[in-house]
Amino acid sequence: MVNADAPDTSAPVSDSPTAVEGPDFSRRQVLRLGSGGALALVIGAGVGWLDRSRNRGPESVSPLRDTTGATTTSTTVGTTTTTTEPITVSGIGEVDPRIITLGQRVVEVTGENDIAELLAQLPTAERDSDPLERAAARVRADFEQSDTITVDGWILAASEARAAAVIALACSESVQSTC
Amino acid sequence: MLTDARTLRSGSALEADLCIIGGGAAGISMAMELLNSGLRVLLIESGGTESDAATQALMTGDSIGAPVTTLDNPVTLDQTRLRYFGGTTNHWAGYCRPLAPVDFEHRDHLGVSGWPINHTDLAPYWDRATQWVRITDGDFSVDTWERRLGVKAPPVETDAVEPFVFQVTFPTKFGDLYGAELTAAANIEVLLHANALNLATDNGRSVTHLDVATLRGVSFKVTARAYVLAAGGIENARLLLASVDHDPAGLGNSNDLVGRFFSEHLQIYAGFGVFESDFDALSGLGGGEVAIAQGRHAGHLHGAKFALGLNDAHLRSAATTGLELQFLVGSLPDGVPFQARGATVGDVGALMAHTGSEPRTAAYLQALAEQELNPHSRVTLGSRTDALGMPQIVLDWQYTAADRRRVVAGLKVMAEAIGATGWGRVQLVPGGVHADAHDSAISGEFLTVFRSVPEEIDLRGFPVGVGFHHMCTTRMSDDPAQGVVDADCRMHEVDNLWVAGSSVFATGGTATPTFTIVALAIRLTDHLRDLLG
Repeated sequence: MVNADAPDTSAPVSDSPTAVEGPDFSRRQVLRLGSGGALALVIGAGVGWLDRSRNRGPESVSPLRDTTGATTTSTTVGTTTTTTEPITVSGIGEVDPRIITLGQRVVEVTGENDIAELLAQLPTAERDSDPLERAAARVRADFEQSDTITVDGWILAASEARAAAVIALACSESVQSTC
Repeated sequence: MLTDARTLRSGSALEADLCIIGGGAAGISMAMELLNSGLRVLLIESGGTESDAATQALMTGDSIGAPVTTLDNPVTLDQTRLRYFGGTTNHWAGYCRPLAPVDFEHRDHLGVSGWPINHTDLAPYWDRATQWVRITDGDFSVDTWERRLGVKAPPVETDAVEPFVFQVTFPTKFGDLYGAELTAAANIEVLLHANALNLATDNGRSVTHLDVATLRGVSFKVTARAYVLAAGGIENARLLLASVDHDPAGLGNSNDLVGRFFSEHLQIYAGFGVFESDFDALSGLGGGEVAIAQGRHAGHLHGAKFALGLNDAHLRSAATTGLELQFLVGSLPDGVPFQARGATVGDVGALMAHTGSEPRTAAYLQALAEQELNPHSRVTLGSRTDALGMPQIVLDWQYTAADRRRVVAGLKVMAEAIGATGWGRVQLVPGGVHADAHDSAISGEFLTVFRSVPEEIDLRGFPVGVGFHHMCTTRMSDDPAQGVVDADCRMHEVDNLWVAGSSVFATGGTATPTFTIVALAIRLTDHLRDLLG
């Protein structure tokens, strides 16, 4: 279900360096994608990944476990989870490629394939706020308001689904460069 | 005392203060409560101490309504019940939970609802029932069990959804557990291989005697001051409908309610999820070793398990019926993703890690739902008879499109609550989840592979399984036009006949019924002890 409650896009565009961090972040590319402030969730995703990746080796990313605790199966599932290396998406930074996969499905299911329009529906950034917290708060609010998008049965917060779609579309646009 | 009815002489006449028909959870609990009570109790059981095919075949009937099936396999009516000492506790999974306060309330949005007693009335009897079902105690608070198990319940508590606790005891076969004590009791006689055929009456207002027979041709009578029908949700109705001495419609059935409102718990493979909690918290089973796969348990268990449910406030405000969600952790063989196509567990788990909490476990979701009472869902008698000449039953189980819609709406509420609290993300594919394979190559045993096929989602026709929970066929009501028994479980129309078991449930609720069956049986025992004193 797509329930596009209009987000507040009237807040001033932030150009603060604190709002967009990350070694592979390209402000120019982000600004090309849309207003920098509206990218909060997308950037939050990228920064979040980078933060986690810095703190842990890939082998420590929590594996998905099975009901029996069978070692072989746990290892298999864990491997599926942990061997996915982050890739760089121009304008976004490093992201888990499975988000790109999911974002492609979001685009296919919703037909929403215009980055600018998608960004217009994403939350605006607040200066000095933590991108991850901002993203989590927006996701929580979406679920509380039943503002969800259903992808292959998965009930996703509209904002996170659209953020994944933006990432997938950005990757598609920048396929010749770093993605 | 334990007597094999096949050793009696035909034409015998047995007497007792209280005759209990059926040696299952309700009947055995009542007998245990009456140990050394001074009352002469005769407990009539159709089977022996072990299952035998000829006796089990007496359960055979026709199902003409909704398919009676587990989530994995079709079953026959005689497989949903067990006809030997201990009754259906012989295959009981041991899940215990009291009904919720809202279950007892009249709900305007439902056609028929409401009990003539409330949650508080039954609370002391649930406490006492703990000793017979052998769970730890009557404390079902989440806080207590988080402490006892050392794991956290799903951290999902919203204005619509909350976690709750099952206490689990397995195996708990009442016949095995209590047979010796009952055999040794001076005031209790357990009569095995004794099949109740007819509640004899002259005027329809009282039972004069019970006609009983064995499969070996022995026939005899039992006369008692009081009779309790405790043969199960289907057989209780069957015996009443087959007792036609006074009225061809059956005993106590002048309002044509006996057998109506047959209710089951709708079971649905609801989907998948990725969750922040780890495996131990999701499985939540402690105090013993257990394996759950393909709907079966192996090993002994005494512990608890967490699940999520729509809370009472939501059921009232949203005018809906009960729904609970259990999390059963699936498994993944080499090289097979959780789903072959579309968005996968891994994809959504990655997204969740970016926008909230990092997932640690994936699980498939099994939902259990209450169905609205439906007078057209009913047990009747067929034209065929069993080996003892009793009419076989015809079950016309029905649930409605509205029941399905409520399930889907409730699942969506659950999914949004899970997302809002950041605990996980849920894929709702009711009926699109398959238990595909039993892969012994990976763990050696008890490993079930689940697969999701989103393309198969049919919200109007998804498969629904049963819980072997046969309820409401002699439902309790103060109004004889709405129910068969009164608040004391006595037949409205028959002065010396009471009914025990889930057939007296006025609504089904979502709690597994055995714990409440035992509580109601204890309550009835107190009533009869006072009455027969």
